[in-house]
Amino acid sequence: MDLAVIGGGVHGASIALFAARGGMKVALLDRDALARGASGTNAGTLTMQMTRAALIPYALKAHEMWVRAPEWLGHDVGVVSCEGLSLAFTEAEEALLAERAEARRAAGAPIQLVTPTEALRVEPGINPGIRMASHCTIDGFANAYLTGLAFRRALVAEGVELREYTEVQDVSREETGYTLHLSGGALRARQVVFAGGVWLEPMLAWMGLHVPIRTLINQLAVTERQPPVMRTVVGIASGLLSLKQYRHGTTVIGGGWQGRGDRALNTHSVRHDSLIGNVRLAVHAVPGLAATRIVRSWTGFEAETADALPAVGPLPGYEGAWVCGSVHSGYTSGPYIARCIAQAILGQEPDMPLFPIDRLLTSQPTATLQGQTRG
Amino acid sequence: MSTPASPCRDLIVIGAGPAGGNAALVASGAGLDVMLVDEGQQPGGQVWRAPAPGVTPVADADHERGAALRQRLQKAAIPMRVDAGVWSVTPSDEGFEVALAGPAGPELVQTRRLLIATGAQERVVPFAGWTLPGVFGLAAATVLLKSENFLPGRRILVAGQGPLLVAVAAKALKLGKAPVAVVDYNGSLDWLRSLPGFLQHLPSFRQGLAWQVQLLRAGVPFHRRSEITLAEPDDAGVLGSLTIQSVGGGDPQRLEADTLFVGNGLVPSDEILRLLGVRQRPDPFGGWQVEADECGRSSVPGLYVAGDCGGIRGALPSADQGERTGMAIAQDAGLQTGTASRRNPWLDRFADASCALMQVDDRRIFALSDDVILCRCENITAGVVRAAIADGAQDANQLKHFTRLGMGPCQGRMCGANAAALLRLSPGTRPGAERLTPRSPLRPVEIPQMAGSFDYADIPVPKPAPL
Amino acid sequence: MQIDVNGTLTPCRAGMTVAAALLEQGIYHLRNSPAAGTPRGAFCLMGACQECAILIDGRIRRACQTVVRDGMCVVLVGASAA
Repeated sequence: MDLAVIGGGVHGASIALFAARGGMKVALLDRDALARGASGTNAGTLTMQMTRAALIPYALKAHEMWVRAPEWLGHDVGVVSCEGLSLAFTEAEEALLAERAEARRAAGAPIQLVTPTEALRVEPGINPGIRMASHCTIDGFANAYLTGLAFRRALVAEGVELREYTEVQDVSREETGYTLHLSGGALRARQVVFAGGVWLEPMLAWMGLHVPIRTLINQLAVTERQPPVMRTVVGIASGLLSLKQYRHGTTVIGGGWQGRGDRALNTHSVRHDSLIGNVRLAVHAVPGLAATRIVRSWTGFEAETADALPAVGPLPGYEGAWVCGSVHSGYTSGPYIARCIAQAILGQEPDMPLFPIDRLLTSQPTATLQGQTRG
Repeated sequence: MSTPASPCRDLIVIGAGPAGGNAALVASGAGLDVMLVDEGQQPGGQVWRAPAPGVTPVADADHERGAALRQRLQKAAIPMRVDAGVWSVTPSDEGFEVALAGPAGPELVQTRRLLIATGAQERVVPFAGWTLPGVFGLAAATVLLKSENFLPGRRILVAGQGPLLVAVAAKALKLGKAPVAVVDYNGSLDWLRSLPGFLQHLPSFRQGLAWQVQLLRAGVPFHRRSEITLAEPDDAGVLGSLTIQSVGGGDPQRLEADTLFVGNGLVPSDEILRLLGVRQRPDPFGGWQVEADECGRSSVPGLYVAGDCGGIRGALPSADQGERTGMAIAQDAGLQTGTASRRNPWLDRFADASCALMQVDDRRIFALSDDVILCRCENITAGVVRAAIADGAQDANQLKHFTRLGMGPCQGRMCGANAAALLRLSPGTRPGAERLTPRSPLRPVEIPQMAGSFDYADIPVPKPAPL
Repeated sequence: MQIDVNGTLTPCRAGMTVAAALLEQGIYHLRNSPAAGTPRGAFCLMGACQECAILIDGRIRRACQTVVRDGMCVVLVGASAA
């Protein structure tokens, strides 16, 4: 193998795809099926309004990629491109919104502050009691649960060796590359990519590198189908709400409310009070939701580094080893960030700077940062 | 969290049918603080369902037992929540947190112990056109018979398998609505094989026999070893005709019918149990049963199970189980109780005989043609499911992601057993992964019921995400 | 007692469910499948299948689990997506 990619989420799968197209012989491994973690279960929001200012340029490029997914992925993943609104209901939220909108606008996102009247014109479905909103002309969403299916077809067509339900237990460096130790054998590759999401911390520990990764446990809910009540992506100043209604009529409710979970045990579950709070925020923002029912809720992990910026780049001290993850709005920016690091892996100059992890290294293993205060 | 605070209960019983109702009475009688929750208007579950107010009930054994249970519950004054849906249960510091939703909004109740007695639901082997209005489950007929003493339609057909088939047909006859046909997947040999088991409970056997004789005398056509293969609409788009096919081959027969009651056995309503992670094992008659001791103690400490939700046994064994489990819960809590009845082997054999008639071979589902709808909510056909499996779906959750099967409001209740059968017989399926992961809410919850009344300022807002 | 079904006053009895009331009047077609657009009606009558989830007094409710109220407003063919 030229390249082994550990982790079949949007980062790993995209890297594998682009590397294969660049001529490499690639294997993609995941201990589950593709995109069964965060990438298959997140809210699918493709927004600038919840993206960190520093990542806006990447998110804008990724948005373009998502919209053109049929061209490079061969599947539209249900992507809808639309406008986005972030709402302020109180004075404090107004101030927060103004600050955030300005920072993101300065970073290149087409965001403007608008009055309630203007906001209602863009989105008749919102609560007319808002004080102010920030409006972004570039927003949208994908159907996250289609990610696995979409990438599987593309990867198979590209000749990538797909090793699902294959757990990597350790990685060791050899003279000419790396050996991946599997539960039933081994796999050798010249280069290796760690794209394991929240499990990057234990994975990098195999290489003697200590990068604390905080595990957030994000909660989502979805309604049953109803006639249209909204047509944009709706959020809130604090970032604690994300709402979008899919073409088939269901609305996904998110915003980072926290569930319960344990990274080591790979378990996570819904917290009742988080669900109730999230739903309250949702129906307050889009009152039309009162006419429908919640059909399902679920949780998933999200990775966050110490400075809440991506871990994307070469492994210090290891030729041909790379890491890609913990991007913060990783699904939104995923394909573009993956393409950049794939360029580096192929020996090219990445279109945009990566996020080298030297800044994140601690000298010894730290206590794992479990998801806490964001809920 | 601005939901009303509730005291921590000793025991919450979810399901006020034969099992749950009896367990609640025993546990409460022993001195435990018990809360009984049921989604229906009154206790009784399905088999002992109460007649609606003003309806003259049919005086049969089920009605008597149900009335007796309701009387005893009223007398015992056990705190009850009827018309209350449990939408989630999680472990908590005290034991369990039960999330209810009612007209007043959300309610979170803590309890030390939990008894799940949620009974069973029907299973239907689908056929082309089965989603037409006018096609009902077989148990749906019993709901109407017990609560309203009424059945809709002018030309009724009763189909499927199991003892319920005969019961519904006979009761329709008694109402003056003789079925135009009874279509039984089982043949005479199957009934003969179950005969020894049915003889273990003579009252029930006599009742069943009486029903068969009534139907014979009335000249109701019986199609044995046959099934419905097609339902077609009339001009109004509702059920107009049904096609009957003998399993062994032969010419199909088409009959005009405006109402069909069809059912192919029962499956446990085990969603809460699975959500809480109880261990299960395959049921010898198909499907799953909960690993529990004779007193209903499951693999999760403090979580008990009684009745059909732990494995299909029918109403009478469920009532006994409820009593035994109620006693066990009281004893585990350190209270004195009487001696529990032992498990009745004759009732078990009777149950086995019923379950044998209700068995559905996975191969029947595997053989369904591509155009047959498996997932009613999302309109997913067997063909779409096969394509997804060919695309690499190796388990139920992946199948759900690939097709949306199970994402609708019934949350996989109608399609789960059939999707599992199809997956089990597909070579690529990972063993033990043919069931959808249970998720809360356990039933769709109206958003206003989940949100309740609140002020915007009530909503806890932690510090915002990093910029 | 009467309920309003799509603008037509429909007789019913206290204590019966909306589903039973509709069936007694021979009303089988309750809504259209949101996914397929085809006619659907009550199926299980036990609260499990959701096929009878229709607009009752402005909210989506299962007709088989909702007891009639005098003057209740029931809208059929109202639970489909646009």
